[in-house]
Amino acid sequence: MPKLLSYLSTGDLEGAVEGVNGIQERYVQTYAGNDLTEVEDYRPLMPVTYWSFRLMMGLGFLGMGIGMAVLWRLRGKGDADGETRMEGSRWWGWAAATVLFMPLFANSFGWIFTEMGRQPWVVMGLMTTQTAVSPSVGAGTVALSMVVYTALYGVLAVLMVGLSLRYGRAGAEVVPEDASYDPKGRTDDDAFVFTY
Amino acid sequence: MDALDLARWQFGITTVYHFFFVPITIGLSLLVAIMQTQWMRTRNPQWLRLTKFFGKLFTINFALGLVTGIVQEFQFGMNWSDYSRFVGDIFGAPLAIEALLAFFLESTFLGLWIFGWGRIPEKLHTACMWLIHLGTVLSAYFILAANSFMQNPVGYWINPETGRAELTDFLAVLTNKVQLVAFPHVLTAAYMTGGAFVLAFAVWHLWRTRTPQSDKPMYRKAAKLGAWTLVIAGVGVIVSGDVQGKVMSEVQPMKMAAAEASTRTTPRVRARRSRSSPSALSMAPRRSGR
Repeated sequence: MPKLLSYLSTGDLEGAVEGVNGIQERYVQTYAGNDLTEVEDYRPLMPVTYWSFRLMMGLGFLGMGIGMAVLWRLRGKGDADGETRMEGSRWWGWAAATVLFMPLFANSFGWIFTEMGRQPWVVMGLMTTQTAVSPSVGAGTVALSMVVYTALYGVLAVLMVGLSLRYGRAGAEVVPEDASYDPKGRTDDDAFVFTY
Repeated sequence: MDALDLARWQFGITTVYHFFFVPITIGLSLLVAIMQTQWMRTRNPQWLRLTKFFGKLFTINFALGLVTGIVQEFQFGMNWSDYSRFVGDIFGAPLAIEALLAFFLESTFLGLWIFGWGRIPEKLHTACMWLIHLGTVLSAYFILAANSFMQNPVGYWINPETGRAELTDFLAVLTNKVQLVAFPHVLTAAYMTGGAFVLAFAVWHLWRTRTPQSDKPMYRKAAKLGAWTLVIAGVGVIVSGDVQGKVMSEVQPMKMAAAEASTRTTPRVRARRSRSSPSALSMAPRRSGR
């Protein structure tokens, strides 16, 4: 997009932004002759940086949009019976089911952009990723630990989603109207009533 | 796939997974602390019920964030030993502080909060949740300082005898200019996520026909709190992201150009370049007339 990048990076619509190819040429000269810094290609994977950057922004804006829609719908003091005209509405059902994942995945794409955009460096200008990897750990070992982590994380994901939905569906527990948790005002028998 | 590709995929997958829980933990701890404070102020039992409800969901997220964070630390030694050898002296310090804060400050006060209902004075109990939040924010600061070093190394020298990077100025690492703009961006993005979390569960109950009508005003309060947090933090994300883009163009011009997939230099670059060399690299500015 012409001009936009100039504005984003320099604050000036006509500001100059150096292209990938120019930087590539410059880096090849700057970093040659050092095992830790010399590679042929200093360009990150552009489809990844291009799309992750857009997904980060797009999902973030969508999340904010839903937030504003909720604020608009719930404006004012509201009726005493809590009527919100959200009940059973298909639109608000979808909003509830998806709103969390918008900023959440925007976070993920932001980090994917930051870290993939840094490649081929692990430390910018000092060390490339290919020289950072353990020299004596073979592909088999890494693959094995990956299988273990994936299995473990899969189980954790099922537990996490299951527990969240269960506690979420149950809703907020009812507490006594005059609930007080001050230890001064209770007898010992009450001690465990308030813990969950 | 060779070991390098596999190690990169592994780090990527475990990091993205870990970072599902991190922003929720940071954002939700703030919102639960606000709910409990609101209950202390107003004595409205709705706030107490919301505190306990979201506190429970917070605990699940916290546990998973902690467990998956340990896997992150393992990988530096296991898959990235040459990295750890080269910059471990610098990277290790903020990484260790982050883990210690997570384990001691956050976990301790979370334990006090979970088991402290009715056992410790109310004000102290509410303060525990604020301290958990403070712990998550400090954790985020230190781990981001470690990450910012990777984006823009500062405060080090390369020891010619050992061939390793060694720490010379810890304060410089903590006040890295990339860090100073990345931290507000990550923090406000976490608040957005926390706000969206509360909003999602609250709107779910407002939408659900089986939720008792008498509970709807309570979820209405929560939905508004979540939505305001989401929108206000969103403005913070935009502003901080804008500033961050400018710093990034300066220290990592390749990344910003790759974000737009712009391969060729836009006009006027040469004029600008001759005024100031845009990166920390010691490169000779190529002067050529337009």
